Amino acid sequence: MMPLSGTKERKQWSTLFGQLVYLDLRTRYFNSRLGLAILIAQPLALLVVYSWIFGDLMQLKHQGGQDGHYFSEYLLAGLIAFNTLAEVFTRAPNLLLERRELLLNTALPAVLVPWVLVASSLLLEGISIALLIIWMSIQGLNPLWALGCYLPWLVIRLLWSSAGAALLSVLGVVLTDLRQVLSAILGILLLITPIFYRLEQIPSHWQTALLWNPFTYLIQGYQTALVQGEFKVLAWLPVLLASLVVWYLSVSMARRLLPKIRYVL
Amino acid sequence: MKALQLQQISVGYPQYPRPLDLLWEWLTGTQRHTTHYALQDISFELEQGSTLGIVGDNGAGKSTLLRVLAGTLQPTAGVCLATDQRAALLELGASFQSQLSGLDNIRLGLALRGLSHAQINEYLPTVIEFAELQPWIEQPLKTYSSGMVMRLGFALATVLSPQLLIVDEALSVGDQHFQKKSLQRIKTIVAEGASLVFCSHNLYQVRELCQQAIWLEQGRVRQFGKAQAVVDAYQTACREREVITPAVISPQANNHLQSQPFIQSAQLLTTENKVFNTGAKFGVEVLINLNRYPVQEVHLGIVIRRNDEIQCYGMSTLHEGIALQGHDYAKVHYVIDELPLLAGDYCLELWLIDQTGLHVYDSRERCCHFQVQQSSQRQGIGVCQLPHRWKVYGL
Repeated sequence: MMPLSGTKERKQWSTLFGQLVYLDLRTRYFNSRLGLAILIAQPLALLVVYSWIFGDLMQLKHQGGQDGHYFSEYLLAGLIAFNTLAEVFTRAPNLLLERRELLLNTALPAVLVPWVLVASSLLLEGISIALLIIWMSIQGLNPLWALGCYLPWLVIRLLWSSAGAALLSVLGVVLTDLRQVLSAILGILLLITPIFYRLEQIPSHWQTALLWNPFTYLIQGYQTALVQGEFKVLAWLPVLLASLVVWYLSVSMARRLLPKIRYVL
Repeated sequence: MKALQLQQISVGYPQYPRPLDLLWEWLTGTQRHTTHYALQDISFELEQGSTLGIVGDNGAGKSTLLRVLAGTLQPTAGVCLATDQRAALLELGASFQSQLSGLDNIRLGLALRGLSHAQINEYLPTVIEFAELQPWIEQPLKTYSSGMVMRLGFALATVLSPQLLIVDEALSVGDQHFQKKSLQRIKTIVAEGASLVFCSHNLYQVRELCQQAIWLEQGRVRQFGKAQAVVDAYQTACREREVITPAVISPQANNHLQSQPFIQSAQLLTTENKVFNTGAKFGVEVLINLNRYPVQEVHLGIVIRRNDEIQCYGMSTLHEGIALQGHDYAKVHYVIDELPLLAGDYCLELWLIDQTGLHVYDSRERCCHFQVQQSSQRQGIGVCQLPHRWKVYGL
């Protein structure tokens, strides 16, 4: 997305990019009373509450999973992927509009802006993953192996995030109701994606239907990698190829429209 | 060395009826916009170290040209070659983020100028110090007054000592103290060898600051040349447009800021009916409240204007090297022993300016109305009598 022509320019852009990411996080989190604590408290609270409700109270275990793997870890692994993507998708439509003055009055390259969202999401996911890894260590699981299995799926998540951020930031300017529509779609997606249940737990004809939902593959990839410590190349590779195609199409469309966006901002 | 080279620059703004039309246009490949050209075929060059004024009516394309020069707008066609080390004072503070602190806005502003982290940290104290915002620098920008925001914008824009400074009506930043400070900063930058592009509706400032000028009209260069000639031509054109309906002379309220010197009163030294004869003695008395300013920092300019807006004559104590006197007040008598004006209705414009001639403390436009009458047509026709002689030869 970024036309980097030289070392000097690349260095200038990296400083500007770092500054934009820092200010994005600062505006959203660090300026609040709780500050950075909210970033840690939110996933930690989810982890503790889910473990207590689904583990201790309901004694839920995933069918099809290995013995000893509790529902709460699967749930949290799935939610980490889903929530991070949802965060990017819901913020993207307002991304350029919120920076209208910057884009019109400075030399800020519009192509840089969607990447700010992707970088911010990486930090948020990193904190949640770190907490999950610590939790799993306490549970006696092997977190380092799980981390290695998770990284390929993170690549997929980043491809989706950058494609979504680029495309939705442009569409958000021309389609004024996009954010509301997206919130509704994501609410439905949360329910029709196997996060709160395992794909194997639902009737087979519905399983086939849910396989049309691309989120299913990513969520299952996160859950399998992080909780079971497994990485299935044959499951990952087709998703990667499909993601690359979607990424290329989305980013190409955004790159074509971005130079003209200033005229309708 | 050239500071600026513009070759056939054109800027067209696509105008879409609805934002959605941008998407439809891209999807279907059919044009769904009209293009408004703000600039067309602009070409000029500016030598390093020289100063250029831009004049023109509203909508002539001045702001668009400044944005192109500043690098915040890419031209639709043509080439704009300018030094990387340029700073633009356009809509000061417009790009600031109100929810961020002053400090964060400075960091972002410097990063947008291409500075590294180390350079940002190096220049931060200079910006804060120049903007005089130390106590509030950690506060969100939304708590700042508009003057504080403009001070921050000015300090940020000029911190890097640019080789090309682009200024859009930015000589009235903050309070009186900061106005002088910012003006001094601009003059220092120019004195150090930077080029200046200055856009203003204040033609007096354009004449004073600039060597060359461009007159833009409907997005095209109407005239490019020496500032005095271009500004005169622009003023003449403005007058020609307005002369169809002679201006009705009406008093205009004085316009001064608190805590600055101001014109306390102005009255004609004349008979009660305010009618002068051509060739008679004319005088005006102006009382200036110095408002604790050193008298050497205050000067008075007087312009005689006819009711068809023709500027008949103007002069100032600054340009004639006349020093005002007084402690709290200064009284000035402006006397023309033999008034050369011919019959007509006239009024005065009074300008209270500083020693640089660029900052206006106070002004009175269209005051001290008076009439001039001729004893006979033999005194001539037109605006004023000119010293002359005839020589007659028999052949």
